[in-house]
Amino acid sequence: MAPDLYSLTSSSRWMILIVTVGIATVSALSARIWSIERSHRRIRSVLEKRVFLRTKELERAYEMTEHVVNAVKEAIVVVDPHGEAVLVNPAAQAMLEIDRSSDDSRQICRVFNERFPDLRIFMREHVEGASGKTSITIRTDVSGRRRVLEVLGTPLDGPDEGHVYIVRDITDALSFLEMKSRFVSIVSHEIRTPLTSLSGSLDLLDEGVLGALPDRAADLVSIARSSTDRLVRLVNDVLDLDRLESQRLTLSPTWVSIDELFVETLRTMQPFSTKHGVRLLADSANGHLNGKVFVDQDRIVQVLLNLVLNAIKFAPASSTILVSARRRHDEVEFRVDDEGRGVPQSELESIFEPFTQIETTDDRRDSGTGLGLAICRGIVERHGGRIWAEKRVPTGTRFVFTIPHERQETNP
Amino acid sequence: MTITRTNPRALVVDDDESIRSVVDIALGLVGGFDVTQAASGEEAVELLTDRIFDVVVLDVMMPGLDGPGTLQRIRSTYNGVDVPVVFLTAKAQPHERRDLESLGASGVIVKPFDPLTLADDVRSLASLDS
Repeated sequence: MAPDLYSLTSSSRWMILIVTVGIATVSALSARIWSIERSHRRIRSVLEKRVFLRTKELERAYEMTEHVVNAVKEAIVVVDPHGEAVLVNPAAQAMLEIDRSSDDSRQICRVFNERFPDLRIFMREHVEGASGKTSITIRTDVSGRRRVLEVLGTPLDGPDEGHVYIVRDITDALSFLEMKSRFVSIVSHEIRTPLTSLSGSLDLLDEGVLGALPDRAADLVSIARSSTDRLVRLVNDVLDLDRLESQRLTLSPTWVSIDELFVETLRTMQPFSTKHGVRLLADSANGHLNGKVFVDQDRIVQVLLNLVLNAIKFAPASSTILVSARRRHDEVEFRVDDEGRGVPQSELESIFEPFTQIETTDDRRDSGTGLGLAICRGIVERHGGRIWAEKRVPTGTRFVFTIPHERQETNP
Repeated sequence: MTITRTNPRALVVDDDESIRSVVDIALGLVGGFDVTQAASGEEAVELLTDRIFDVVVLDVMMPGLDGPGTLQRIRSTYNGVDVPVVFLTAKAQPHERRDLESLGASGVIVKPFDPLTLADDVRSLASLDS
């Protein structure tokens, strides 16, 4: 007999309704949960797969980096933010003769930190920003041999801030440079002695101190004299250039008035410019300058003389050469302007290399050694300045060199 | 009669004979000095024990007693105590020049020198009347 719903009490009817609704709700919810769970599982498996792939990728990248760091011939040392070595690559281990039988990188770093205290101090100071230098040359003992190491540091970006250092053994390069320099110096001095008596004798003969010579003999003596003069200049220039290259040229800077530099230059060059019919002018623009620079007077006059001499060599008759100075930003800028036929665009830079000369059609070329501008560049750079050449419109060349101004006021 | 003026006396010390010859002509023939030559520092010191000179022109790099060593010894000789000494050197760097001057020399002339002005240069460095 089917239950007669209508025969049930109203409370029972309510009960059945609630139960029915409850069952329906639960089954609907469980279906939902099941579906959520299923999609979670799917998402998780996708994520796991991605993480796996990404990890593999990172591992590969890490291995690649490690491989590169281990394979390069450059000695690399990485330090942490406290200046402690955390990586010393095999090239660095080989250079510093750290026992390479150990595979324990921490052991290797410990040996490095203990054996090279001066390197470690530089790195710590560098990392902490105590020293403004980015490179340092250190003389150190590597297994009883004196070595000269050059260390170049670069900060690392990122969460594990630290620094990476490239270490170069420059002992052999330095000793080669020293050898070359000693050679140049000895040869130059050895040449200078016979040159002194040679040029002295020729000067005396040429000036007729020992009586007049027959015309053709006088011609020959005069040729020999000018060639000897050129040889003397060449020896002097080679010595100067060598001193500049080997950093052995000592500057004696003082506060010098720009006017004085110009007066000295013009006084020396005036006879030569007059001979070639060239006007030589100076403008120190004193209104814009305090009128003084902190330089080695003889050396800066040497630069100015060289530039003016060059200008005269290429200047057409009755043209003007202007020597001037002005203040620009933190520098004093010196200029030598000529109205010559100009330096070809392609040679504006190369003319500062040693033994380069601009082709001239006349015999004025003979008087140069091809080292003048290289020496000028060396002297200007030793003063912390720059030198370059520009084309002038419509014709001519402007040689410019700068002397930093602010820097000097800190150490007058 | 006019007053006879004696020529200033120069002692030229250099181990290189050809340089001594050129200096001799430059100082003697061109400049009116009475020149005596010495081929070494030792010889110069010996000459100064019994002869008087108005100036010594001294080479720097010499075998045996070199220029600075010779200058030191000259100062201990009777006639060399305050004789002006002018160095003749191939070393032209400013600091090398200063080093030589600080030894008590009257001046430094750099090789190669101009033989036509050498006598005047020596005169003015050694403060001799011309």
